[in-house]
Amino acid sequence: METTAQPVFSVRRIVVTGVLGAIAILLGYTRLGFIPVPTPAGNATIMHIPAIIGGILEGWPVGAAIGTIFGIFSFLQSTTPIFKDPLVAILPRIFIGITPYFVYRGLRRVNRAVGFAIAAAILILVGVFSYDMLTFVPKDLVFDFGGDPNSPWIHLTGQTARLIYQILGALLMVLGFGAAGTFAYFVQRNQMELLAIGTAAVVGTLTNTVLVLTMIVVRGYLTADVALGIGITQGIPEIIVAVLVTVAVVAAWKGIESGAGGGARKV
Amino acid sequence: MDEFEISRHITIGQYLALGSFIHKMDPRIKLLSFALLVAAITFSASYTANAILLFVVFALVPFSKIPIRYALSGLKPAIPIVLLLAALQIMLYTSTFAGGQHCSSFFRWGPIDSNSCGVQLAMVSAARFVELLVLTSLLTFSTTVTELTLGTEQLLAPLTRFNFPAHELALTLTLALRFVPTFAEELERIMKAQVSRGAELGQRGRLRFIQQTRALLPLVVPLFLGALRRAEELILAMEARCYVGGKRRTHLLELRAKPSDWLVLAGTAAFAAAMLFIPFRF
Repeated sequence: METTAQPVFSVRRIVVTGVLGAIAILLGYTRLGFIPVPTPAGNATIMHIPAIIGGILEGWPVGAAIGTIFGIFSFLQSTTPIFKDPLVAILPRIFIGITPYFVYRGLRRVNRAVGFAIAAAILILVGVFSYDMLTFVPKDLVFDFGGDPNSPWIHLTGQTARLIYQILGALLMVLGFGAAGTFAYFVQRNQMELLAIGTAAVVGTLTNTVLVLTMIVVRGYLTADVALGIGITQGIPEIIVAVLVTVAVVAAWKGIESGAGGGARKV
Repeated sequence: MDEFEISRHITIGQYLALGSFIHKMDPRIKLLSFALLVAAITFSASYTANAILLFVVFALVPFSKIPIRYALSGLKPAIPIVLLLAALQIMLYTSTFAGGQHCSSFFRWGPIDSNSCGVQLAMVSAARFVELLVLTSLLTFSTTVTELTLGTEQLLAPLTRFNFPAHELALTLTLALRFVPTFAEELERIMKAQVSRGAELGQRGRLRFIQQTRALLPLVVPLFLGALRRAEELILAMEARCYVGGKRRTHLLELRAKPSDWLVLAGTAAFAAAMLFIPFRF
């Protein structure tokens, strides 16, 4: 029997995927895709942003397809050994556009009470966790990166380890409070749509960074501690850049007033 | 003015019409063989397997008539990164990461731990990179974009039975490739328009990356919005013509595999299987 069910890929989804896929490929060819930042890698990429935008606008299958196109081209064009590996270049990229869709869908319809509850939950969770890290430092703390147990470099113990633990706790506290504050600020101004877009961009970028670095470690190109260092230093500027660009584009396309803070400006 | 010349640097469809044996292969068979060889390269970690793969990949180049200089064109700019990565791998790859392999240590000082596993990883990574570089050049120089998308679609076609949108995905790929030059031109136009209004597109230093990003917004936002607007027009045009994807569509070009194609596929499959399943000692 002939089924008349809607196919997963309607004409709209096909075309939007193709068009945003083209932008992802184009950004890879121009300097535009790389924004100079103060990190070891030297550049924050915006090439994954079409996948995030596609996921937000047209649903997760579109985000997944754009991510795959981006992955295939970063594999074919790459002249760096790490990304000339399909398991690093293509596989993690499929998910870049999937996670933002669910975050966006989940957050955009949330009312003020729930919004403040989420902000408070972030605040309490991060607060308790980082306060715990700052005050109750485990006595026999060891940072072991899997090296020689006699080497003082990769086997941190005693005062040094405790200090690093506290610095990490303080950093987490600042970042967490900042995130909760920003969240509450947008809920207060009743800009749930903008908040949902921005959070989706954060989650999409994190998906890219975390999955790519995981595959790099799994494939043995870099050790876990080097990858963690790259992840923290590279991840933060990339998240900031992605939020700025995604919010500007999606807000402009949907005709949302974003006010003074970042967002769409008259061109 | 060189920074405005975007469309000139785009090398999509770097097809070289040479009419060699590899050029004339059925694109489906070519893609399958490519995938098999990529799998063999990706999962081979021994010296022996990589030496054989390196030899085979270079031996394939004459069959495509592609000048070796073209096939290796991406190698020169990558050499510093390859060397840096190799140095990191040799110095920092500690034996506990090797998964129970026996590694003999050469040198150890502070965080630096140089052992046979790290050296093997560095050598294999470098060889793997060259193999994949040559192989992808072989594919892209010898196959037109049309052949690639048609081949992809027909390879994925059996999956439509499980509701996998094979035809639709192939169409998105065609659309993406079709629009890259259009958007490159559009980006050039936007850049010139912004510069003529006094916008500065230059570098502002790494520490001011937020300003740098905000300076990019007048380029990126019109690019995305123009693209989405074009998408709306295309959707309207396609729906007005009652476009329906899927099984019932026929193709202008019908692919037909020759006996020699099947022979190549069988050979590649046997070779890839040998590389993957023979436990090489080194």
